[in-house]
Amino acid sequence: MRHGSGDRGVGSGPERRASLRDAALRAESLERFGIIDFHVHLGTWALSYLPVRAGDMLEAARHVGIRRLCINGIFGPCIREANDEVAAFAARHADLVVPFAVLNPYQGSMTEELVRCIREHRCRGLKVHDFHQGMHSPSIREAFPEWDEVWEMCARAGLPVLFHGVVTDEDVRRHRDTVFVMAHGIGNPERVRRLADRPNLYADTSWSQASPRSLLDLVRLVGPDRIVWGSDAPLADFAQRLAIVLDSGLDELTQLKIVAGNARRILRLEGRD
Amino acid sequence: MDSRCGTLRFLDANCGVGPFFDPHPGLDWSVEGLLARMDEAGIAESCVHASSGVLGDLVSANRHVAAIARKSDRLHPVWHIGSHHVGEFPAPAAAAEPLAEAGVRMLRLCGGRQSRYADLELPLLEDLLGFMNDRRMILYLDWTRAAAAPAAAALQSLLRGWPSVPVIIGVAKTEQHDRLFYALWERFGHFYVELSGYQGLGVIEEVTRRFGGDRLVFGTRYPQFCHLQTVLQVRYSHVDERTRELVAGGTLRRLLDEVTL
Repeated sequence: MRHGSGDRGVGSGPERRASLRDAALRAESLERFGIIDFHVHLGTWALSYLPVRAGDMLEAARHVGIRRLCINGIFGPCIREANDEVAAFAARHADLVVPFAVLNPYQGSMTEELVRCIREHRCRGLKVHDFHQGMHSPSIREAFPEWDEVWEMCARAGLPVLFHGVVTDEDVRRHRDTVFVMAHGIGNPERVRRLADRPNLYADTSWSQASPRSLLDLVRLVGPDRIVWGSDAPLADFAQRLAIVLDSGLDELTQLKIVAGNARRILRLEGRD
Repeated sequence: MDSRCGTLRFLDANCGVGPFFDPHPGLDWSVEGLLARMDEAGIAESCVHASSGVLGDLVSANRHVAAIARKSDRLHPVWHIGSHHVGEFPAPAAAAEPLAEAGVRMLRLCGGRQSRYADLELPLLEDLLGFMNDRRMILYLDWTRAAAAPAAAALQSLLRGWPSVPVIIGVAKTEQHDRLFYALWERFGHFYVELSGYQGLGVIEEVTRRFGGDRLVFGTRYPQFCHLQTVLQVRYSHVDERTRELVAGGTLRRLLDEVTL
């Protein structure tokens, strides 16, 4: 697994107003930039009334020109059904959707479910979330040693782990070949700082209070090669969340790493788009 | 600009200017700096409050923003609301002249933790709201730093009690608010939501379809957020041009025009 170089890319100057930003300001389709949204959910949840359904979400993504959506099923209470639903959705929209598996130790063997998701559903990533699955860190991690096998399996299969809770700092340190992507990492700089020296630690940009400033802080912590752009759709608007990258003052090459290149690398999508 | 953009005249309902405690390194918080950033994002006008008034001295903040707004007719001054009982804000009976002199048509109430008002405390605001009601002055409820929106009962009492005060609310984020907002939109035509915290996918399309194009108001929460965040949300929204114009600035422009100081 190739990890980020740690290169810092905070730029300014004449190149800061790049064509990606200009195209967005004209509300053009951004498809040619190959943007990958690393953090998307299928379904609805209790905290918000979500006016869009899955089909509307895809239409909105296409309208903006998002090239790939990494979609997980954390909103589904039954893990197996949620994975099946995401897989079926991905199969219907294979040009756009990259399926991520979800796991829950209270619902049978996690490794068996992960193998099923990889072999039958061709999932390319794993999402774990403590809150939505009724799991509470850190006890959920300590109570189930099977997580170690899950992390190892993800490393062997090349699946990045997008985590919101569950994963401990020790997991990131011990499982060096597993790519861990901290969901909402942009809003959690203290934890990112603790793990910034671990090349297998990435962070995503999805956060309701994110701004260009918080993105620049994140770039200073881990460099531009270990950040992936995520919207948290349908909880958030694609274009609104893209703006923090486009208005960051980072040079266009760095912006493209964050919105496309880094995700493509850890998802092993080279050559596919 | 392609057909999705038209020639939108963005009017920002939620913009700060001047010094504050934790600026982005390199941020130019002057009027000139603000206008330059507005130009880059295609924003025509902004309702500006002094950023220092959120946590700092209110009197000097309001004085400061009045002076700032005189430097450009693209900036509409907004005063932070304080208590006339402690002398930090003009008593309603004497407020007309200083507000008119400063060109203030919108007042801003910051609520929540570490704010001047912990909640929407209507008994403390009755005199001022009566004054605003007579003049159709706009009330902006800045709940962007609060964990939750004001209580439904307080908001309903506000909207019922002072029906000529257009109420615009800005919240930190979308979650948990829709059930409250939809109920208020059904009952009150003078309730508006500012977009910077209302970030859910499809909210512009859904709200304008259900309640019409004049219930959402463009705002950026600059300088905490960047201008482009809400600009792109509006530009990429799937609505007709008339609706997009209303959201981008048409509705707020009308509300400002209706104020009679």
